[in-house]
Amino acid sequence: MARENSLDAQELFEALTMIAVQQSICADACSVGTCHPKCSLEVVDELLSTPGAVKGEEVDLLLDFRSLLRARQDAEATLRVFCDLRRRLEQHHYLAFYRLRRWLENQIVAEARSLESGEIALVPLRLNFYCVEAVRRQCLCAALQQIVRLSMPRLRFSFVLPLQARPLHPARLLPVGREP
Amino acid sequence: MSTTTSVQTAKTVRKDNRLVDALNLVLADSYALMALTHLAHWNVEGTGFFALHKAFEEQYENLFEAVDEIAERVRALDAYAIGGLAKLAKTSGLEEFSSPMPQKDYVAGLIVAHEKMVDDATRTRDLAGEANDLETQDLMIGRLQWHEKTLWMLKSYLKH
Repeated sequence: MARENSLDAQELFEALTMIAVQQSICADACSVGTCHPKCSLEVVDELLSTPGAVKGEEVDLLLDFRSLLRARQDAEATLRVFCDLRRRLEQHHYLAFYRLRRWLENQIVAEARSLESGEIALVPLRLNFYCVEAVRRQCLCAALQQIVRLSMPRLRFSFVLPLQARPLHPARLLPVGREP
Repeated sequence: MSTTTSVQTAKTVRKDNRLVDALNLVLADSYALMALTHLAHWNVEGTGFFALHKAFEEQYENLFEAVDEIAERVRALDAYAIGGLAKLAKTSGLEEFSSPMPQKDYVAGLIVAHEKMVDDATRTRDLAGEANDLETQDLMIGRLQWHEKTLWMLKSYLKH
Protein backbone atom coordinates (compact mmCIF):
# COMPACT_ATOMS: atom_id res chain seq x y z
CA MET A 1 0.00 0.00 0.00
CA ALA A 2 0.99 3.62 -0.34
CA ARG A 3 3.71 4.96 1.87
CA GLU A 4 3.73 8.57 2.90
CA ASN A 5 6.79 9.37 0.84
CA SER A 6 5.23 7.91 -2.32
CA LEU A 7 2.72 10.75 -2.46
CA ASP A 8 3.75 13.90 -4.21
CA ALA A 9 2.28 16.59 -1.96
CA GLN A 10 3.02 19.38 -4.42
CA GLU A 11 1.26 17.59 -7.25
CA LEU A 12 -1.71 16.81 -5.04
CA PHE A 13 -1.97 20.47 -4.07
CA GLU A 14 -1.81 21.55 -7.71
CA ALA A 15 -4.45 19.02 -8.71
CA LEU A 16 -6.78 20.14 -5.93
CA THR A 17 -6.30 23.79 -6.90
CA MET A 18 -7.06 22.98 -10.51
CA ILE A 19 -10.21 21.09 -9.57
CA ALA A 20 -11.51 24.05 -7.60
CA VAL A 21 -11.97 26.02 -10.83
CA GLN A 22 -13.09 23.17 -13.05
CA GLN A 23 -16.75 23.17 -14.06
CA SER A 24 -16.97 19.49 -14.77
CA ILE A 25 -14.72 16.51 -14.50
CA CYS A 26 -14.15 14.22 -17.44
CA ALA A 27 -16.27 16.31 -19.77
CA ASP A 28 -15.52 13.98 -22.67
CA ALA A 29 -17.76 10.97 -22.66
CA CYS A 30 -16.12 7.90 -21.18
CA SER A 31 -15.03 5.61 -23.98
CA VAL A 32 -11.83 3.88 -24.99
CA GLY A 33 -11.27 6.53 -27.63
CA THR A 34 -11.68 9.54 -25.38
CA CYS A 35 -10.54 8.18 -22.01
CA HIS A 36 -7.83 10.43 -20.67
CA PRO A 37 -5.22 8.98 -18.33
CA LYS A 38 -5.64 11.45 -15.49
CA CYS A 39 -9.44 11.33 -15.29
CA SER A 40 -9.46 8.91 -12.36
CA LEU A 41 -7.00 11.06 -10.41
CA GLU A 42 -9.27 14.06 -10.92
CA VAL A 43 -12.24 12.15 -9.56
CA VAL A 44 -10.29 10.94 -6.52
CA ASP A 45 -8.91 14.43 -5.88
CA GLU A 46 -12.39 15.90 -6.02
CA LEU A 47 -13.58 13.38 -3.43
CA LEU A 48 -10.60 14.24 -1.23
CA SER A 49 -11.10 17.98 -1.58
CA THR A 50 -14.87 18.04 -0.94
CA PRO A 51 -15.41 18.89 2.73
CA GLY A 52 -17.07 16.02 4.58
CA ALA A 53 -17.16 13.73 1.54
CA VAL A 54 -14.87 11.13 3.11
CA LYS A 55 -13.35 10.66 6.52
CA GLY A 56 -11.09 8.47 8.63
CA GLU A 57 -10.05 5.16 7.17
CA GLU A 58 -11.69 6.00 3.84
CA VAL A 59 -9.28 8.89 3.33
CA ASP A 60 -6.34 6.52 3.81
CA LEU A 61 -7.87 4.06 1.37
CA LEU A 62 -8.47 6.80 -1.19
CA LEU A 63 -4.85 7.92 -0.86
CA ASP A 64 -3.71 4.32 -1.36
CA PHE A 65 -5.96 4.11 -4.41
CA ARG A 66 -4.57 7.39 -5.77
CA SER A 67 -1.04 6.13 -5.36
CA LEU A 68 -1.88 2.91 -7.24
CA LEU A 69 -3.55 4.87 -10.04
CA ARG A 70 -0.53 7.12 -10.43
CA ALA A 71 1.87 4.20 -10.57
CA ARG A 72 -0.24 2.17 -13.07
CA GLN A 73 1.75 -0.94 -12.14
CA ASP A 74 -0.43 -3.24 -10.03
CA ALA A 75 -3.83 -3.54 -11.69
CA GLU A 76 -5.04 -6.29 -9.35
CA ALA A 77 -4.27 -4.27 -6.21
CA THR A 78 -5.89 -1.24 -7.83
CA LEU A 79 -9.07 -3.23 -8.43
CA ARG A 80 -8.99 -4.68 -4.91
CA VAL A 81 -8.81 -1.24 -3.29
CA PHE A 82 -11.40 0.08 -5.71
CA CYS A 83 -13.85 -2.66 -4.76
CA ASP A 84 -13.27 -1.94 -1.07
CA LEU A 85 -13.88 1.77 -1.62
CA ARG A 86 -16.90 1.08 -3.78
CA ARG A 87 -18.56 -0.99 -1.06
CA ARG A 88 -17.96 1.80 1.45
CA LEU A 89 -18.63 4.96 -0.55
CA GLU A 90 -20.67 4.29 -3.67
CA GLN A 91 -24.02 4.84 -1.99
CA HIS A 92 -23.09 8.45 -1.19
CA HIS A 93 -20.92 9.18 -4.24
CA TYR A 94 -22.55 7.23 -7.04
CA LEU A 95 -21.47 9.51 -9.90
CA ALA A 96 -17.83 9.56 -8.78
CA PHE A 97 -17.77 5.77 -8.64
CA TYR A 98 -19.52 5.49 -11.99
CA ARG A 99 -16.73 7.63 -13.50
CA LEU A 100 -14.07 5.52 -11.79
CA ARG A 101 -15.70 2.30 -12.96
CA ARG A 102 -15.83 3.50 -16.57
CA TRP A 103 -12.21 4.67 -16.35
CA LEU A 104 -10.99 1.36 -14.94
CA GLU A 105 -12.97 -0.57 -17.57
CA ASN A 106 -11.22 1.48 -20.25
CA GLN A 107 -7.76 1.31 -18.72
CA ILE A 108 -7.46 -2.24 -17.35
CA VAL A 109 -7.68 -5.46 -19.30
CA ALA A 110 -7.80 -9.08 -18.16
CA GLU A 111 -5.43 -11.53 -19.80
CA ALA A 112 -6.51 -15.17 -19.69
CA ARG A 113 -3.80 -17.71 -20.50
CA SER A 114 -4.22 -21.43 -20.98
CA LEU A 115 -1.38 -23.19 -19.17
CA GLU A 116 -1.79 -26.21 -21.43
CA SER A 117 -1.93 -24.66 -24.91
CA GLY A 118 -0.37 -21.28 -24.11
CA GLU A 119 -3.22 -19.53 -25.88
CA ILE A 120 -4.01 -16.03 -24.65
CA ALA A 121 -7.27 -14.13 -24.68
CA LEU A 122 -7.56 -10.47 -23.79
CA VAL A 123 -10.87 -9.80 -22.11
CA PRO A 124 -12.35 -6.38 -21.43
CA LEU A 125 -13.15 -5.60 -17.85
CA ARG A 126 -16.77 -5.23 -16.75
CA LEU A 127 -17.05 -3.99 -13.18
CA ASN A 128 -20.52 -5.32 -12.43
CA PHE A 129 -19.47 -6.80 -9.11
CA TYR A 130 -18.17 -5.56 -5.79
CA CYS A 131 -15.28 -7.99 -5.28
CA VAL A 132 -12.28 -8.89 -7.40
CA GLU A 133 -12.95 -12.63 -7.32
CA ALA A 134 -16.38 -12.17 -8.88
CA VAL A 135 -14.87 -9.90 -11.55
CA ARG A 136 -12.20 -12.55 -12.19
CA ARG A 137 -14.84 -15.25 -12.60
CA GLN A 138 -16.75 -13.08 -15.05
CA CYS A 139 -13.59 -12.44 -17.08
CA LEU A 140 -12.81 -16.15 -17.21
CA CYS A 141 -16.31 -16.88 -18.51
CA ALA A 142 -15.81 -14.24 -21.20
CA ALA A 143 -12.41 -15.74 -22.09
CA LEU A 144 -14.01 -19.17 -22.50
CA GLN A 145 -16.13 -17.69 -25.28
CA GLN A 146 -12.95 -16.69 -27.12
CA ILE A 147 -10.83 -19.79 -26.52
CA VAL A 148 -12.78 -23.02 -26.64
CA ARG A 149 -9.97 -25.13 -25.16
CA LEU A 150 -9.06 -22.91 -22.24
CA SER A 151 -7.86 -25.58 -19.87
CA MET A 152 -6.11 -24.68 -16.61
CA PRO A 153 -6.64 -20.97 -17.22
CA ARG A 154 -4.69 -18.30 -15.38
CA LEU A 155 -5.97 -14.76 -15.35
CA ARG A 156 -4.12 -11.56 -14.62
CA PHE A 157 -5.18 -7.92 -14.78
CA SER A 158 -2.96 -5.28 -16.34
CA PHE A 159 -3.14 -1.64 -17.36
CA VAL A 160 -3.47 -1.05 -21.08
CA LEU A 161 -0.90 1.15 -22.79
CA PRO A 162 -1.33 4.89 -22.42
CA LEU A 163 -3.42 6.45 -25.22
CA GLN A 164 -0.43 7.74 -27.17
CA ALA A 165 1.23 4.34 -27.30
CA ARG A 166 -1.82 2.25 -28.20
CA PRO A 167 -1.95 0.33 -31.49
CA LEU A 168 -4.22 1.85 -34.14
CA HIS A 169 -6.54 -1.15 -34.27
CA PRO A 170 -6.76 -2.77 -30.84
CA ALA A 171 -9.20 -5.36 -32.18
CA ARG A 172 -8.34 -7.91 -29.53
CA LEU A 173 -9.41 -5.53 -26.80
CA LEU A 174 -12.93 -5.23 -28.10
CA PRO A 175 -15.56 -6.29 -25.60
CA VAL A 176 -16.89 -9.80 -26.08
CA GLY A 177 -20.30 -9.75 -27.70
CA ARG A 178 -20.18 -6.00 -28.40
CA GLU A 179 -19.91 -4.32 -31.76
CA PRO A 180 -16.67 -2.49 -32.59
CA MET B 1 -24.36 48.31 -39.70
CA SER B 2 -24.85 48.84 -43.44
CA THR B 3 -26.47 46.25 -45.70
CA THR B 4 -23.17 45.63 -47.48
CA THR B 5 -21.41 44.87 -44.22
CA SER B 6 -24.21 42.51 -43.16
CA VAL B 7 -23.90 40.57 -46.39
CA GLN B 8 -20.13 40.40 -45.99
CA THR B 9 -20.49 39.12 -42.42
CA ALA B 10 -22.94 36.42 -43.50
CA LYS B 11 -20.52 35.31 -46.24
CA THR B 12 -17.69 35.19 -43.72
CA VAL B 13 -19.83 33.04 -41.43
CA ARG B 14 -20.68 30.68 -44.28
CA LYS B 15 -17.03 30.24 -45.12
CA ASP B 16 -16.11 29.42 -41.54
CA ASN B 17 -15.81 25.64 -41.70
CA ARG B 18 -14.83 25.45 -38.06
CA LEU B 19 -18.23 26.76 -37.03
CA VAL B 20 -20.10 24.43 -39.38
CA ASP B 21 -18.04 21.46 -38.12
CA ALA B 22 -18.72 22.45 -34.52
CA LEU B 23 -22.45 22.76 -35.23
CA ASN B 24 -22.46 19.36 -36.92
CA LEU B 25 -20.72 17.90 -33.86
CA VAL B 26 -23.44 19.34 -31.62
CA LEU B 27 -25.98 17.87 -34.03
CA ALA B 28 -24.34 14.43 -33.78
CA ASP B 29 -24.08 14.70 -29.99
CA SER B 30 -27.75 15.65 -29.71
CA TYR B 31 -28.86 12.77 -31.93
CA ALA B 32 -26.72 10.25 -30.06
CA LEU B 33 -27.89 11.58 -26.70
CA MET B 34 -31.50 11.37 -27.88
CA ALA B 35 -30.98 7.69 -28.73
CA LEU B 36 -29.35 7.00 -25.36
CA THR B 37 -32.16 8.79 -23.52
CA HIS B 38 -34.78 6.88 -25.50
CA LEU B 39 -33.07 3.60 -24.59
CA ALA B 40 -33.01 4.63 -20.94
CA HIS B 41 -36.72 5.53 -21.19
CA TRP B 42 -37.55 2.05 -22.47
CA ASN B 43 -35.33 -0.06 -20.27
CA VAL B 44 -35.11 1.68 -16.91
CA GLU B 45 -36.44 -0.45 -14.04
CA GLY B 46 -36.80 -0.20 -10.30
CA THR B 47 -38.27 1.96 -7.58
CA GLY B 48 -37.85 5.26 -9.44
CA PHE B 49 -39.36 3.86 -12.64
CA PHE B 50 -42.29 6.22 -13.13
CA ALA B 51 -40.34 9.42 -12.39
CA LEU B 52 -37.38 8.43 -14.59
CA HIS B 53 -39.51 7.00 -17.41
CA LYS B 54 -41.42 10.30 -17.61
CA ALA B 55 -38.32 12.51 -17.21
CA PHE B 56 -36.44 10.62 -19.95
CA GLU B 57 -39.45 11.01 -22.25
CA GLU B 58 -39.45 14.80 -21.81
CA GLN B 59 -35.73 14.87 -22.42
CA TYR B 60 -35.70 12.88 -25.68
CA GLU B 61 -38.63 14.93 -26.97
CA ASN B 62 -36.66 18.12 -26.33
CA LEU B 63 -33.63 16.64 -28.10
CA PHE B 64 -35.77 15.59 -31.07
CA GLU B 65 -36.84 19.19 -31.60
CA ALA B 66 -33.29 20.42 -31.04
CA VAL B 67 -31.70 18.27 -33.75
CA ASP B 68 -34.06 19.74 -36.31
CA GLU B 69 -33.23 23.30 -35.24
CA ILE B 70 -29.49 22.64 -35.27
CA ALA B 71 -29.56 20.90 -38.67
CA GLU B 72 -31.60 23.75 -40.16
CA ARG B 73 -29.09 26.26 -38.78
CA VAL B 74 -26.32 24.35 -40.59
CA ARG B 75 -28.34 24.67 -43.80
CA ALA B 76 -28.89 28.37 -43.14
CA LEU B 77 -25.12 28.73 -43.10
CA ASP B 78 -25.09 27.32 -46.64
CA ALA B 79 -23.57 24.03 -45.49
CA TYR B 80 -24.93 20.49 -45.24
CA ALA B 81 -26.04 18.70 -42.11
CA ILE B 82 -24.49 15.33 -41.42
CA GLY B 83 -26.78 12.33 -41.00
CA GLY B 84 -27.13 8.58 -40.86
CA LEU B 85 -27.01 6.63 -37.62
CA ALA B 86 -23.48 5.26 -38.07
CA LYS B 87 -22.06 8.64 -39.09
CA LEU B 88 -23.77 10.45 -36.21
CA ALA B 89 -22.64 7.86 -33.65
CA LYS B 90 -19.04 7.92 -34.92
CA THR B 91 -18.93 11.71 -35.00
CA SER B 92 -20.31 12.16 -31.50
CA GLY B 93 -18.18 9.43 -29.92
CA LEU B 94 -20.72 8.92 -27.16
CA GLU B 95 -20.49 5.39 -25.84
CA GLU B 96 -23.57 3.23 -26.11
CA PHE B 97 -25.21 1.80 -23.00
CA SER B 98 -24.87 -1.92 -22.44
CA SER B 99 -28.52 -2.22 -21.48
CA PRO B 100 -29.93 -3.61 -19.21
CA MET B 101 -28.09 -1.89 -16.41
CA PRO B 102 -28.89 -0.51 -12.95
CA GLN B 103 -31.26 2.45 -12.77
CA LYS B 104 -28.59 4.78 -11.41
CA ASP B 105 -26.17 3.82 -14.21
CA TYR B 106 -28.61 5.17 -16.80
CA VAL B 107 -28.70 8.48 -14.92
CA ALA B 108 -24.91 8.59 -14.45
CA GLY B 109 -24.30 7.63 -18.09
CA LEU B 110 -26.62 10.40 -19.27
CA ILE B 111 -24.84 12.89 -17.01
CA VAL B 112 -21.52 12.06 -18.67
CA ALA B 113 -23.14 12.47 -22.10
CA HIS B 114 -24.74 15.81 -21.19
CA GLU B 115 -21.37 17.03 -19.91
CA LYS B 116 -19.82 16.30 -23.30
CA MET B 117 -22.70 18.17 -24.93
CA VAL B 118 -22.09 21.19 -22.70
CA ASP B 119 -18.43 21.12 -23.61
CA ASP B 120 -19.09 20.94 -27.37
CA ALA B 121 -21.95 23.46 -27.32
CA THR B 122 -19.81 25.91 -25.34
CA ARG B 123 -17.06 25.66 -27.95
CA THR B 124 -19.63 26.22 -30.72
CA ARG B 125 -21.14 29.21 -28.90
CA ASP B 126 -17.70 30.79 -28.60
CA LEU B 127 -16.87 30.14 -32.26
CA ALA B 128 -20.19 31.72 -33.24
CA GLY B 129 -19.31 34.73 -31.08
CA GLU B 130 -15.94 35.07 -32.81
CA ALA B 131 -17.68 34.92 -36.20
CA ASN B 132 -20.27 37.48 -35.07
CA ASP B 133 -22.99 34.93 -35.89
CA LEU B 134 -25.48 35.92 -33.23
CA GLU B 135 -28.20 33.54 -34.43
CA THR B 136 -26.00 30.47 -33.97
CA GLN B 137 -24.73 31.89 -30.70
CA ASP B 138 -28.31 32.35 -29.49
CA LEU B 139 -29.19 28.79 -30.52
CA MET B 140 -26.21 27.43 -28.58
CA ILE B 141 -27.01 29.54 -25.51
CA GLY B 142 -30.52 28.07 -25.51
CA ARG B 143 -29.16 24.55 -25.81
CA LEU B 144 -26.62 25.13 -23.05
CA GLN B 145 -29.31 26.42 -20.70
CA TRP B 146 -31.36 23.29 -21.25
CA HIS B 147 -28.43 20.87 -20.90
CA GLU B 148 -27.22 22.56 -17.73
CA LYS B 149 -30.71 22.43 -16.24
CA THR B 150 -31.01 18.75 -17.18
CA LEU B 151 -27.61 18.08 -15.60
CA TRP B 152 -28.77 19.69 -12.36
CA MET B 153 -31.88 17.47 -12.34
CA LEU B 154 -30.01 14.26 -13.12
CA LYS B 155 -27.31 14.99 -10.55
CA SER B 156 -29.95 15.79 -7.95
CA TYR B 157 -31.47 12.35 -8.54
CA LEU B 158 -28.16 10.68 -7.70
CA LYS B 159 -27.67 12.64 -4.47
CA HIS B 160 -28.07 10.40 -1.47
